[in-house]
Amino acid sequence: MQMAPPSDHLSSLSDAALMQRVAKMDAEAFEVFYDRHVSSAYALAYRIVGSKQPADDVCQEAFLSVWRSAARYDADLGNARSWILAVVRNRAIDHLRRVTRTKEREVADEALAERHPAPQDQNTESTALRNAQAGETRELMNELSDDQRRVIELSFYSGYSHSEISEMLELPLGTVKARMNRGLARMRNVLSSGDAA
Amino acid sequence: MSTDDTRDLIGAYVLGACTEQEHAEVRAHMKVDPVFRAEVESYDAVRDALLDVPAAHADADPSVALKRSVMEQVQAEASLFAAAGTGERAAIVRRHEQAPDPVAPPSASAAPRGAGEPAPSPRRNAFLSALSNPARATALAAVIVALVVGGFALGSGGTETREVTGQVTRVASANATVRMVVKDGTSDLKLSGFDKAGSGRKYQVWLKSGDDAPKPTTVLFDVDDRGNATATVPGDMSKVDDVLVTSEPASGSQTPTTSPVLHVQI
Repeated sequence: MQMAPPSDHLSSLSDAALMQRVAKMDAEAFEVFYDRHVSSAYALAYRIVGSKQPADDVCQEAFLSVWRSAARYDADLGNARSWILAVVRNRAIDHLRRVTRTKEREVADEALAERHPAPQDQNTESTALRNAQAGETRELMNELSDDQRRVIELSFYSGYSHSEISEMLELPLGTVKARMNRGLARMRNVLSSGDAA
Repeated sequence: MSTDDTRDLIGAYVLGACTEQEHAEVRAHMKVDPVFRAEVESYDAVRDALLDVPAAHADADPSVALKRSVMEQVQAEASLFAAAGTGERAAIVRRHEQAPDPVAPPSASAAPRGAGEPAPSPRRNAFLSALSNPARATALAAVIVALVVGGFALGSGGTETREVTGQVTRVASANATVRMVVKDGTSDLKLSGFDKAGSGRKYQVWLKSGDDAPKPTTVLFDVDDRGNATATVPGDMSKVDDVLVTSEPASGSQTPTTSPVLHVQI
């Protein structure tokens, strides 16, 4: 299908204005929104699922979901960029859960292992962390202790619950929650002080 | 759960690592405690920063094919919307407003790793992929008539008849149409203008509910020389969202082996 570029007028609209049009089934407005955010969406999907085809699938599912539920978008509750990225993150985590213990996941893990060889003492934790470590580490994450960063990555990018992390790391549940809370508080403080690179 | 207990959950809530019950408890507490709500919302920027990861690999750019696939689906649905009457448009908008919240967190407790639903088979993946992207189906004619027409009408004797026009996704004839007529508890698929299923093959009907894999039926049929057929779909349709038809070996299949030739959204 030949796709003509969206008009300049639409390209100048804010995300919120585009979403209003998308809610009325305006495909051109959606295309502008897609072009504006697909790179970030794809980077997030790729970081979580670790390979190209699943990242494609996740993005396709997420953007179509946004297209079909744009009427639910409420600008008062956050910006549209965060909205689509949250959808991508959730879809990617869903994908990880679906493929657990399947051939597809094994293949994905093998592909990741080739790019990011695990240490000799590979265990469940290091396997789970491969995806999370696949991308560049944000400067913000460098502000955290290793323990804090580990629980945040395992939960946010690998989709583990606090109790699963507790079991995996053989830590009391309260310790996992505390590390999450302290890590996030540290990141919040860095962001609010403008120290993050 | 005490306030302190709920406060302990803020980090897990922001990171999406709560159980469903804990998630609901945090949400409920946010509604009644503005200070608590402000505390939770103070992490919005952190969450946004975590979502906004930099591109990790040079070879990990979104492909042109991805955009083409998404936009073909979007443009097809936008065309349907444009072609629909006022009433149908309002119904579509209502459905979109009532669509599941796309940012509802994935359930950490409902489908824990290692105990989750089995992954779709590659064949099912291909099938569902073709559904979500009709353009991938070969020999696409894309005779998209309308999402839903007809609505409800009263038939003879006060019996309710419902007629739904389906989407033809793969045909040789541009004039092919399909509609489903539901009357007296009987659901008939009425096809017109279709090619034969092929040598040694039959058309098979599949029923799909939500995100579940399409379930096979024993309904196997072929069109007559004029490309017409009526196939009665058995059973309770109240929980069925979509009716699909694929070309299968004459004895039928347990898993779809080809892309659907038609799709009726109930």
